[in-house]
Amino acid sequence: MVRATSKKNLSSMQVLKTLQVLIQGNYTMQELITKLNANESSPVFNNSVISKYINTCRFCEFDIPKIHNKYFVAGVPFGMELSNSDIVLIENLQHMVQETMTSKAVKLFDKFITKLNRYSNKKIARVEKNSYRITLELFDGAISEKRKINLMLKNKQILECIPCKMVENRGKTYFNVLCNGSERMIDTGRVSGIEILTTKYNRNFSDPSVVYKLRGDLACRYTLRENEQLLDKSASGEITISNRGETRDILLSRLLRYDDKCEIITPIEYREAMKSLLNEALSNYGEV
Amino acid sequence: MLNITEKTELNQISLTGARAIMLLSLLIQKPRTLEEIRTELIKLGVLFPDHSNDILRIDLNTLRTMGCEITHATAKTGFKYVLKKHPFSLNITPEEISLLKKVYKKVKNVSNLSILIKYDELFNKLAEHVTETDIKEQLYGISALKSFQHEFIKDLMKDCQTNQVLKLVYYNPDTKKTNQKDVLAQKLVFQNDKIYLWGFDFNKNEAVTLNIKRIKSILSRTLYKGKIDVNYTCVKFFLKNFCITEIGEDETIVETCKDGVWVEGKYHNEFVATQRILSFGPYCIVHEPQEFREKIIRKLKNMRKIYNG
Repeated sequence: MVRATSKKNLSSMQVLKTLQVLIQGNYTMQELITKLNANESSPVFNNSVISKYINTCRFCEFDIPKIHNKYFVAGVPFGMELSNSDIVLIENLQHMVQETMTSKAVKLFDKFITKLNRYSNKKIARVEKNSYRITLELFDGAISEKRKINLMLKNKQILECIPCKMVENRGKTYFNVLCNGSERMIDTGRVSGIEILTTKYNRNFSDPSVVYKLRGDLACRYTLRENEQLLDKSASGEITISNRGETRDILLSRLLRYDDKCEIITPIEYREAMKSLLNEALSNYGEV
Repeated sequence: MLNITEKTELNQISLTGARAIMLLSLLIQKPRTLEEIRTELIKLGVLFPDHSNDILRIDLNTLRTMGCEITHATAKTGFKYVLKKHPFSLNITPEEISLLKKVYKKVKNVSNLSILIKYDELFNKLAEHVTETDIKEQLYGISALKSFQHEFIKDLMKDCQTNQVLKLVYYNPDTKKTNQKDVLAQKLVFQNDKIYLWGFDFNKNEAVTLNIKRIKSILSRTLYKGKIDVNYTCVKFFLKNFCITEIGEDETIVETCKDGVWVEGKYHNEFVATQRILSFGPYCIVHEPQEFREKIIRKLKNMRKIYNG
């Protein structure tokens, strides 16, 4: 005798298979038939069978509309209860993606929202927004093609530079560029246009590993960040940290805050950059 | 969840299929015994009282074949079937997680603590609807408040709003000892993924900034009816264009020029003001007060010495 636990119900399996396919995307009846029969030894799925199975899912409170001849799951009965404030947060994230990220990111986020809408009791709106993103995409494109660019700034200044990468700092997006041999961070809000030049550059950019020492009470209370590693702790309480992946200007600005309790050890360019920042800062006060 | 009342077109549906979906829904809600499942399915009208429990075992096996991970009902699970994973759950991809992380990083720096708590709750809610363990953990890990207790933050926020003097035990990492403080709670600030309580220390008679992770316990709360004259550190400085640091909420632009902006900063104490001014580097020139300007020059000179040696 076959035990109940080894038996399965074929009809149930076919309903669940239909549901599984519908959760993945939007399909016409013909596409559903082809897709579902693809894994069967004989064609068990036909128009009337699939219609019955779709009705079964609808009976179980799955929202399966048919729009432009395509069936899809618009809502599931075991979805999540999102509050109005959750929706506002998701829309804020969506707004941030649209305002500050590339169209690839926008598309991915839209896909995520479509998916979330299926599982949510409340629907999240999708808004199209194109302004400003084009500039980000041109910058991204220039990096991948290794082409120099002209950045047009709102104060009418034009900077010919090498695009290094896009950087986030405190909720704002910056273009990290190499201009006249020195690295600069340009707030994207100051950029009015971008021109990709035909001139190519041949350099790879990656943030080096930066090693610095912290002293005194700062060393005692310092909490390592995700991108930091403790290299050494001396008997006097000094700690040596290695940092990778933090953009140079952001890191230097942070280390400046630490006063004379911090010293950059390597690389030498970062030591020099810090020295030059301090010289420049002192020259503001007439101290050479 | 399911509330099926209309059963007029039963011949147009697959009753066994409907039963499998409803069984799945019941297990998504919570772990259940076979008897509990039976009762619910009879109530929903997809199982009849004369049906044997073997039908349910076959349905459970069907779900397993379709990719659902359902434990066996043993004494360990209280004789309940527990659904661990199923292929119909919200499927968030690693690319989507990575995008969520990036965009959250952007919004977290422009959001206040109440909003950040809500984001934390939202990510937890999403994680609860995901069955992939790895993705679930990544969702739990997005929030900057993941290692904080919400209730503690909410209590402190309330203390700040209602002028409470906290008798608290605070860990000092310099001395590696705890000490007791009487602090008037004034403001809770999220900065560099840490939360600080800005307050007035009655023992020291000065404004203090306490990392809330170091508050070991709050012994008592007393309503403060007096008025504290906080000695804010006010600094007037010129901030040149192209500075990568944004103006904060304790700073006001008083004049805009071609080369930059004149800013007036009102900081909680001198330590906060000094750190802030130093972080601007060469983009900032302190004008007032003279004493603070000289202090900054001295500090810059000391820092330069390190690199000239």
